[in-house]
Amino acid sequence: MYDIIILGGGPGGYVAAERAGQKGKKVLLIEKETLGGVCLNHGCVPTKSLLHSAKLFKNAQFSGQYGVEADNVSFNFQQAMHWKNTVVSTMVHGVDFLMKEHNVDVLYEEGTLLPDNSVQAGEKIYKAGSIIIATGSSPSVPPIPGIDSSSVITSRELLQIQKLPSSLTIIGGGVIGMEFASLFSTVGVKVSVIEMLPEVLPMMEDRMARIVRTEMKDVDFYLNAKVDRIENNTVFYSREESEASVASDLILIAAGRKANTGSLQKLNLAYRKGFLSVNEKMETNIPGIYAIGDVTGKSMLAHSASRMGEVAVNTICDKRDRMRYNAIPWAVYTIPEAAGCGFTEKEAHESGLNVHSGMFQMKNNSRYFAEHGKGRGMCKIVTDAETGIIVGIHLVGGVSSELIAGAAGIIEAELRIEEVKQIVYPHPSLSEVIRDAVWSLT
Amino acid sequence: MSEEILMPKLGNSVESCIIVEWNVKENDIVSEGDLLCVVETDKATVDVESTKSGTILDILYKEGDEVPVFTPIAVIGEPGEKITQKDTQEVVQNKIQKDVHKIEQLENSVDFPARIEQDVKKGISPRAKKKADKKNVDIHTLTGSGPHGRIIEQDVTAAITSGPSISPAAYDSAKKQDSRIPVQGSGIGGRILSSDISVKGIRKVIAETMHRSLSTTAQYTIHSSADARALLALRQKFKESDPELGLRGITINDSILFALSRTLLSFPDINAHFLGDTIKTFSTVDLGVAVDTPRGLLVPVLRSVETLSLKQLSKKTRDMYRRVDENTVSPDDLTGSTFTVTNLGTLGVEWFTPVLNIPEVAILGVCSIEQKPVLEAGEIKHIPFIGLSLTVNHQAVDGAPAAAFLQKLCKMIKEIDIITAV
Repeated sequence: MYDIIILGGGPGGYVAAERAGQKGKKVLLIEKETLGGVCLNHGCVPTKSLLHSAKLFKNAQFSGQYGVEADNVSFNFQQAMHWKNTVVSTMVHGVDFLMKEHNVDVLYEEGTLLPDNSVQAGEKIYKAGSIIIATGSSPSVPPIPGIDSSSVITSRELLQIQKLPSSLTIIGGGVIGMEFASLFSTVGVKVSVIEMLPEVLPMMEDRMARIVRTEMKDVDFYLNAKVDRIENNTVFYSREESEASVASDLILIAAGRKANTGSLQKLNLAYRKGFLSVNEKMETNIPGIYAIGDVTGKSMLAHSASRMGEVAVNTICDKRDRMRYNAIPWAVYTIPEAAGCGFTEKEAHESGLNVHSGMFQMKNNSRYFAEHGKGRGMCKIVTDAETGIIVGIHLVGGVSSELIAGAAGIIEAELRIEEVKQIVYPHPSLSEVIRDAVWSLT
Repeated sequence: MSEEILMPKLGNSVESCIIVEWNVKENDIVSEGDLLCVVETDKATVDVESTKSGTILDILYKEGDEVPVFTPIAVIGEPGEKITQKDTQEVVQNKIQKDVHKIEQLENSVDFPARIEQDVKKGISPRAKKKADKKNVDIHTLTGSGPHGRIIEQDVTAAITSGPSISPAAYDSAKKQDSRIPVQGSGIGGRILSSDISVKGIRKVIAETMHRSLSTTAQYTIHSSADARALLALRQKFKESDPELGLRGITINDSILFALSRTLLSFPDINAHFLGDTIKTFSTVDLGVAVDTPRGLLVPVLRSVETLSLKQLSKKTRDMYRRVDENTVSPDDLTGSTFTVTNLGTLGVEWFTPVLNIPEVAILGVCSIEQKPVLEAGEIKHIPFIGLSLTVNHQAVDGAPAAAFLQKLCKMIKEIDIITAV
């Protein structure tokens, strides 16, 4: 008999296991593949490793203006993949260590939830006071004729290829599609992106999404384009009522993700649009059963899943906690990077606020200019004009993904323009763009 | 000889006012007529001026306190002068009354566990009280650690340092509205955010009145609509009339109020107040008109509407709207209606359920004008109809008489061009 059984060892499940273990709970973590889940094995982490390789390759070729010249620069894809594999296995090992350190039992099986709130794994049945579902999500494959062609792959297979393709077509201009487009185009692959909407990266400020897209000069973008069918290695799409096609070695499907619910079918859990329905304490409709992470469809990010795991564990341990989604930062690790937290200006308007926003160009920041020249980076601050509360911070350029943590702190603490003006930022640093964007509001 | 400044009586029905802001502090020198403080009745904000020249010796209530009318709120005299025996006695008496009042309020509230009520009854040290006031700590949430459970300064300090943090925006919002700061908020680690601060002032009064209306009466709403052809034609004629006649500004709403005032005269049971054991009917029609303002909902009253011509009524309504806009309505303008009208038709609302302005027994909601297919002389015609939603207190008026009233009103509106001549 366990206190808590957790189904799924991704960033939701393993963090929940770690926190529960810290609190002295007896925890069983059931994982059907590898600890770390999609994020660590097939998503966020391996792509960051490969994107770092791509950035170094780019910098080695194009740093003449900084006085660095290199000849015969080449990209060794096998070595880049080898380093990626080293990173992944080291980190997986780290998670394994964390589980041991906090006395979490780990079982490598597929766990199936049974109606009496127990879990079947292999031949055995395990019981616990509470069960946390953290089964995650998988790439959703839209019903496009010809999608079963051998050229069509998902992100998971793309991270396992042995050699670089000469060309790649990506269906979907969201975060996953854009990161792969950035990675492969930087190392010499001819990349095309087909997106149904008028702009890529729909969660981003329009103007910033445009900057990310137009900075990826070697990529062909087809916006407002609907994929009609795939024949062998050719994608046929229609745009403004005319049909066109693009042929490539590989076709990546990056058109959203669906909840992994196969192991939950024996229970009468409540769903909303295909995802498990939960409240702000991460409780499902069945007492004693909690759900966290991608399977809930709310904020499908690794760090959201981890936080939801903490909320679920706190709820189980009778510690008051609630999941908030208004200050969750996100980052896109394209070249250039982009990141944001809170409302975009449009979202703030739609929520009924009287919006006042400010903007700062990164090229006016000394560290940014020294390291990037006249790049098109910028920082935007969205505020509620009536109270001065900062409700959104958005960045593109430089190491935006690192700056956004500070932005999240500002929004989570409900700070106003006047208070942020009193925060001291180190000079010269890129972080000053947040302060400068705030001062631009007056 | 020192003199007390009393909370003025700002209207016949006003029994107490909330001090919104003090413009003077102790030891300030003031002249007669100087602004001392701003107070708020349940309907309006009013400036209180000094009735004497001298030095402010004592301020007896803090911002946000609700003070009964004719109660001293400040003492003015010569610098260093001792406040006379009579004054001090009264002050003490008032303070006691105030505390009793607070405890009564507390006992009526179901939100607080009994333990906390006990603690407040056991008292609070002046230093603790001062600190709690300064830091805006809700003393009712504290547990006293002094003798016999008395709240002492260190309890307040502990509450400030051990409680969840509060965002600066939330703190300002609480200060501004003099709202209680909750023990636990909805932010990180229970941090109190601006959305956790409850509303006060006019918003609070509306919240309480509307809730009392729904919780103490048996409200039901009936809907009907009136042929609006004559109404629209008349409006068109007014618009095109000779400017010298002064009829161009007469609106559809004015015509509805006119028809309503004439109809109410023959339905005294609808033009009435329900007072629990009695029903008081009125021979005059004093119409409350709900107006949306930036400060919240206000209901200025148009008196003896049944005696006014349509032109007079229109002018009076416009004057009233202007005064509401300029925030110069007096509290008396905002009380004593016999029947209330609310109009959401201009915002395209087709029907709704107005909430009674108690103790009135009925309220009329005026809705939008919509085209209705009607069979007339064997032919289907599209005719404009104006929607009317009537909420009635079933404690006072049954369904049939209410329906008869609404039917008559529809007829009056249909024949508005004729009845204006009556």
